[in-house]
Amino acid sequence: MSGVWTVFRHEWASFARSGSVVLMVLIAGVVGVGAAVVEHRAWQAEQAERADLQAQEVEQWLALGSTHIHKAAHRGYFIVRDLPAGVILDRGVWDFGGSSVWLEAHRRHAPQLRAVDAAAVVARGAPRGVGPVLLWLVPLLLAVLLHGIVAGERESGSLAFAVSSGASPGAIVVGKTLAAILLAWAAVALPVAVGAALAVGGGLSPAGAATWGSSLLAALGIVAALVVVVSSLAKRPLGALVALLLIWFTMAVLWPRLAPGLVEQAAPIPSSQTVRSEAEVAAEGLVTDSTQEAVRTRLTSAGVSDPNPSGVSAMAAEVDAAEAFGQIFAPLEAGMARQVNLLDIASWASPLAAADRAADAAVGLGDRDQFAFEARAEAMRIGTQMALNEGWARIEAGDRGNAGLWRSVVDAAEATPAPGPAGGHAHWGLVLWTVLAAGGLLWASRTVRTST
Amino acid sequence: MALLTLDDVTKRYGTTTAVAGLSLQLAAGEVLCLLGPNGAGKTTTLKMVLGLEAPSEGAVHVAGLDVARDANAARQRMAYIPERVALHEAFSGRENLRYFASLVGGADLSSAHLERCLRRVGLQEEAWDRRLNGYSKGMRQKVGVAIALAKGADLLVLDEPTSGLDPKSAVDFARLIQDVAAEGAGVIMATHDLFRAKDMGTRIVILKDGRAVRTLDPAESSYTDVEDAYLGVFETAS
Repeated sequence: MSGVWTVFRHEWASFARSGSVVLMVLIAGVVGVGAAVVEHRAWQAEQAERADLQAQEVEQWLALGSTHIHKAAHRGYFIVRDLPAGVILDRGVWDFGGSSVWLEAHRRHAPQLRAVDAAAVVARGAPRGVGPVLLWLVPLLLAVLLHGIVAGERESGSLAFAVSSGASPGAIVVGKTLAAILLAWAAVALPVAVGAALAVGGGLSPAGAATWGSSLLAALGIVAALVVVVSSLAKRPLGALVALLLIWFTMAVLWPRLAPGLVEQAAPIPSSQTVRSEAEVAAEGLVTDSTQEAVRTRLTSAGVSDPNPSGVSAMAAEVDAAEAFGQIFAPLEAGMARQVNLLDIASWASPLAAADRAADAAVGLGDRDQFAFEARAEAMRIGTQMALNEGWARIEAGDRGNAGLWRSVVDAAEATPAPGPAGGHAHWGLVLWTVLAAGGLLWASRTVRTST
Repeated sequence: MALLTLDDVTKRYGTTTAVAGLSLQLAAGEVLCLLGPNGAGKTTTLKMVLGLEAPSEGAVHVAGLDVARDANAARQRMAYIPERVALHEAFSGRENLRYFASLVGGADLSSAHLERCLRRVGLQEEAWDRRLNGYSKGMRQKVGVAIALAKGADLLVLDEPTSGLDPKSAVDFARLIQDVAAEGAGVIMATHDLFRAKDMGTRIVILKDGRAVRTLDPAESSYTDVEDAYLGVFETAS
């Protein structure tokens, strides 16, 4: 252990004296903190616009007053997705899709997921996020600066000198690895702290920020270890640099772009339009008589002595439709889950991709969160329609509108609970790469011994 | 007990035999010089002594330790001084000394001891805290010997240590090594420098094709004897 500590301290002192290493820490710090500040401002601006847009929607609904119920059913209602503060840290899997939902309460009209800017002119927030910037930049800097950490010493002869002086090869490799890991962490410490503080200040849970930060640090630690492994295996520093740049390009650029397309081909999800068409056919086949009776009983027990027959019929039909949709959505949700799981597994090919996906989930912007929002949108649509129809059923003949209806519709939409927490398997990719990096270091120790 | 023993050591690289059945013994206080043309097996022999190459046959023992089986422990008893002592350029001589000495557990790392070592090898005091990129080759060699002293090495393994040194530095280095040997260390040195071998050595072994073909006692041999023996190897080689 003393050998590890000696090598670690010496390597760390060497970093401190290297102008290029100090420059790297500065670059990562400035870029990372800059990204955090810029993303925080963008998030604030977009969040404010989304809140404003939502308020306008509610206001417009409530301002309708007494209106013919059928017109109301065709009056769309935007539910704007709250933009989590985690977007400061990580933009998530999708930049835009489904950040709002258009609920048109008329029977069987599907909710339409839309980008916020389809509803109004809203600035696009968080183009990159702190995490993706650091996961892209820092591995590149580590490759450029540390490619010679072992290969350079082998070339100069100081490695042979150290080994023949009695240093354990394992202590040299482990000491250098610990120093490289600490350097990677030091480079991102300030951006991670600033980004996490801003995100937690914006409402992200401390646990989410901690998970995000640990995913990022784990990935960069793995990358630092891999740099030492490659440098140990390469005969010359130039060879190590070329190999590391190729690995970086594959892991940070190529694979994250290739994987989604490959997964989509391997496990396609049927379009929601197709699913809905099938659901409508299924709903037609359901018997509504018993459902109408159940609805009537429910209204009676709620104090409605003479329910409007049209309202009862509409409610019953909606209950049937909801049941049909539920049946049809099960395979759709299973398909989504399969695809998401495959995306997680595909991310295992790169510690950077695995960390990115783990971070997406940690900040509430993973694809599970996205699917959950879509599922919630469907539940909101049904809830809205049920509220509308119940209001209709309560209306006595001759009175074709009710100002109080709109409040209950809005409340019903907003009361729909959010789905459960989104989990994932991406973190197993980090576990896998930690094991691989440890194995690589063991191998590197043997190489140091035999090649000097 | 001999400090260093090579017992019928052979080293093959594929079909090429670099060292063939070499047996040597070195006692404390001795300076053994290996002479021979390029490819005679001098450096391979030193690598096996250092545990950087494993013998294909035979065994190397340093202070009773089997180098192939317990390389690290054996290396802690040795100090290696190659033709160009490769140290860390960004650090001073004193820092390099502390670092390389500290790689060996149990070495005395007190400032007083390290300064004694630097003084002992004759490195100018004004250079101790200067970065190494301003050091001459001779100064680097001195730091290398200081490291050997600091770790208390029993055996010094030198590979062409005076190659490229100016005459005065070479003489100084030779005196230094002789002094270290006189204090009880064993020295094995590969060299092309016949006259330095004659000056420094207590025994000269001439290698050819990985075999020890002549052994000379420098005390009883003239420069001409050493030269004739060496050139004789070349003539039979050609």
